[in-house]
Amino acid sequence: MSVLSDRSLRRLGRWSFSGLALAIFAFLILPLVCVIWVAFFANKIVSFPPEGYTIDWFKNALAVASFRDGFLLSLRVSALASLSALALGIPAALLIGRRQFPGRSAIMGLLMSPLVVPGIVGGAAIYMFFIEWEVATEIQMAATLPGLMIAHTVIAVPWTMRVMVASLVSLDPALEEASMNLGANRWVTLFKVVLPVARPAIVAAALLSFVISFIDLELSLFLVGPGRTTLPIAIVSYLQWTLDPTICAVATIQIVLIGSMLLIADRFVSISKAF
Amino acid sequence: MGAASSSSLASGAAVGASRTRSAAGRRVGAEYLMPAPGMLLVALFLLLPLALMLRFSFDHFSPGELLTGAFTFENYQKFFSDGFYQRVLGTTVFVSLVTTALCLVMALPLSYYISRLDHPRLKSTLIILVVLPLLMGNAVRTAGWMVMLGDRGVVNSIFVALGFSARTILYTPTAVIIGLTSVLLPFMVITLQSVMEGIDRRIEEAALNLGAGPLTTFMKVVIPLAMPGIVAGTVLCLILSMNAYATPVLIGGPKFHMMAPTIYDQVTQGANWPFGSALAFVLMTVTVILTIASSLVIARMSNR
Amino acid sequence: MSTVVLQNIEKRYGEHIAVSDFNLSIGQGELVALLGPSGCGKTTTLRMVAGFVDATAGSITFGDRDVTLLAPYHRNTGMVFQSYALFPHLNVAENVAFGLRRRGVSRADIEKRVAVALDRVRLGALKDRMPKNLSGGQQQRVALARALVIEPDVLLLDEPLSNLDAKLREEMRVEIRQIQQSLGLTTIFVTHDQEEALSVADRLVVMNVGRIEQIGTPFELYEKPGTEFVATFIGGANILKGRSEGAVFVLADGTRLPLAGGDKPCSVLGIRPERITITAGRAAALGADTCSLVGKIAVRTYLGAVVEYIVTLASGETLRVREQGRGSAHDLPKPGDAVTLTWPAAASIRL
Ligand SMILES: Nc1ncnc2c1ncn2[C@@H]1O[C@H](COP(=O)(O)OP(=O)(O)OP(=O)(O)O)[C@@H](O)[C@H]1O
Ligand SMILES: [Mg+2]
Repeated sequence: MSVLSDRSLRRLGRWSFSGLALAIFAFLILPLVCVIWVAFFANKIVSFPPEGYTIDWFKNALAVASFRDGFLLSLRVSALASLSALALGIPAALLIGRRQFPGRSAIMGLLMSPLVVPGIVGGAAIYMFFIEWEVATEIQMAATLPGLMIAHTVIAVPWTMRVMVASLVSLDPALEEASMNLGANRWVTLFKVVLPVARPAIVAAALLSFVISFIDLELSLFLVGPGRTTLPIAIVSYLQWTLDPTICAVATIQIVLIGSMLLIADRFVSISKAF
Repeated sequence: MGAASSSSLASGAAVGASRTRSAAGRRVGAEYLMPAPGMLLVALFLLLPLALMLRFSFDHFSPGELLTGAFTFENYQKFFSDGFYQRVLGTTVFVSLVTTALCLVMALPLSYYISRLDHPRLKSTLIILVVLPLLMGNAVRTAGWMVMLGDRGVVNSIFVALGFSARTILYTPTAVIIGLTSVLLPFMVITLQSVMEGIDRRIEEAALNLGAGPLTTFMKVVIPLAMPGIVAGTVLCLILSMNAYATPVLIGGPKFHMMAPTIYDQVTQGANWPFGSALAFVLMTVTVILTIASSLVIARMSNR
Repeated sequence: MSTVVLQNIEKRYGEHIAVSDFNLSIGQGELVALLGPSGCGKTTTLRMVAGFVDATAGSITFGDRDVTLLAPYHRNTGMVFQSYALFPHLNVAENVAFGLRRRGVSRADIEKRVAVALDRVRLGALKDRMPKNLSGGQQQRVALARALVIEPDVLLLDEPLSNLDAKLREEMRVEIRQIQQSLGLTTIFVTHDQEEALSVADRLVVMNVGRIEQIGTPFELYEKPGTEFVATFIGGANILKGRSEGAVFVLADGTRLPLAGGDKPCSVLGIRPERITITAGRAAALGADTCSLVGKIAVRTYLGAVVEYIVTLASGETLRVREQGRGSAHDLPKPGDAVTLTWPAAASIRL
């Protein structure tokens, strides 16, 4: 007879496996938790354990011009980019999600291609293109809001498409037929049936595109200009010189903003399905 | 028929009947234009720039001039003759392979754990907590690792509290690998979890029933069935780590060089577009080769 | 309400012919069921009437209105979908009002007509519910009310009951029939359930591989099937092959069976399983117009009200026989028993 029965051995195995999984999970989460923690430290130089707690760093963060301006620019760019991505993505998704036709996957592939182009490569290419464009037409694009917005729209379109196509593919085609059978033409059917039914997906797509644009770093690096930086770039530039509770407060603000948007989006459509 | 309905339908009948047979309700063609604006945007502002970049990589660099119109391989030759850039590529490949392997090793138990949770609330909470960091942005997540690994960071504080001496972790390749692993782990977990979710539990029960222990079942049944997810997650992690920017710059420090920051410096600081473009295409080519090779290796290993 | 006439309707998908030579004229207030095996073209035909599928040839008229080229939203048909297709973002009353809104009916009228339609399907109390909070049977009723409220020229039902459980299916079938008759609705009802079709329809259209096999009342189709396909598809008749010699049918092995009713030549006989009597051993004296065959029981299936046998004849062919239950298991013939099968000559259907 062994000391441990089969059952208690299995229980032990299960507990240690859960422990391992949760430790790995902590590895994922801990850095973010620490950032939020440090944002409330009383001591200016980051060291553990803290000497006390304060919320002064948040005031400080808002007082730094590059963060305040970066935050506002990021908000503007992301709002514009996510709206444009919806305007371009919804019509495309309406076709791709509801019809089978030759060339469908080619079109989908083209619209999803921004996902597979690495940010640095895409950013460099767009940057050089914008400069060439400026030389040719004298219209400045690099380091302007429209330029940034266009580039962010390019990377937001695939995410809009993913969410919208997934939702429209699962839409019962009989709904549209029922609508037309009851006397609604194609346009009325679109606005009274298809879009209302897909509304949760539209909300989720808008929020997700916003987030994707807001957190972008690599692409934006090339396209921002002096006095015109997005928040993530302001954070990276600051971090290259200093790590203090102020930057953690800024990061915390971004975490709370993005986190709440994602949690809202997740109420409408499961976010993990978009990956 | 109601009065209102008959009048509106009568007018409709006149409109409809004037159309041809194929037009009974379907105006084919117009709706196929709906993806056109989006396609135009992607083509004009991504594919065209990439094509331009490819052209640039064969151009001659002359300071102060944009496209000179020359066609030369000198930028690629420069890459292959300069040991510095080859070391940068070597570091990039090494860091990517180690990071991807670590992601895989860590993601397998975590995603299996999540996919087999019986508690739906806990499960969806864990999934969203895995996804959230992913969408927090590389800048913020890297800041987190700087807090963890700094000279007076969390890890060193724990070392000191345990009686060891503090050591430099930040600005070492190890720190970059740790940071990058944590940044990319969610991609691997989500990919694996969704595949494992689809593996019928009864298959595992069958294995247990046939006398395989839990570990054997995991290795011989779950992992082979999760192979499509393993390949997809590996490819994704490789691509993202090969192109990582924020982590090497912030955690690696100024003396640590990887490809993405080098390209950025060439294109902006050095203003050497032809060489920067060539570096970008070398990077993409190596990434593609690496992903294909790793898929083949994984497939080979799983066939045994 | 109006008559519906389908003339020479045909639908091709490239080389594949889904429906062809389809001619059907439906009287005002008549319920016609389209019946046939899977893939025979029932749904395609119905969707051509609704306008979702363009007929490649032929014409469709409602009363004196030619609708062949009309868009679905100009046809004024009321369709009940197999999946119900209730709009998930609208509540019950709004779902029913949808078609009236499209027709520009005034608010007050809409409210009145919706209330009447919901009362008719006994759902007045649920008008504010969302579809996802309804049971299958209730969703079915909403779908029906939504199709009825627009006062369609023709009501179209595509397997409306196939998502319901057996008991509810029977209830709904009766309910649909009652509403259809009380409103005098011209109706096309698609199903592949023969019992459903027989019980609900004024006339049946039996289809096979895109063509009409036979049109007739339930009685006609069951008692006088025109083709071997109809005889077996409806009621599962046994088929015997051979040739007729005057008033006698000769099977391949030479067995002679008397025939009744004229001497029109034929090479196939159909016999309904329930018309055959099964007797243990050899039968005694037989009348001149009684058919008889001997065989061995291969399978016996006890189904409660009836007992079904599969009997293997000396020639190797098998016949299905259905008998009323006898109330005692002991005197039932068992597998392996030699039996005689008899039936009146008038029960043989010439095909
Ligand atoms: N869009 C289409 N393209 C090509 N072939 C089609 C299409 N729709 C239907 N068909 C074919 O037409 C034939 C008739 O299909 P239909 O759906 O009308 O059958 P059905 O009688 O309704 O069958 P079921 O009882 O299974 O619903 C089938 O062979 C089917 O494969
Ligand atoms: Mg069908």
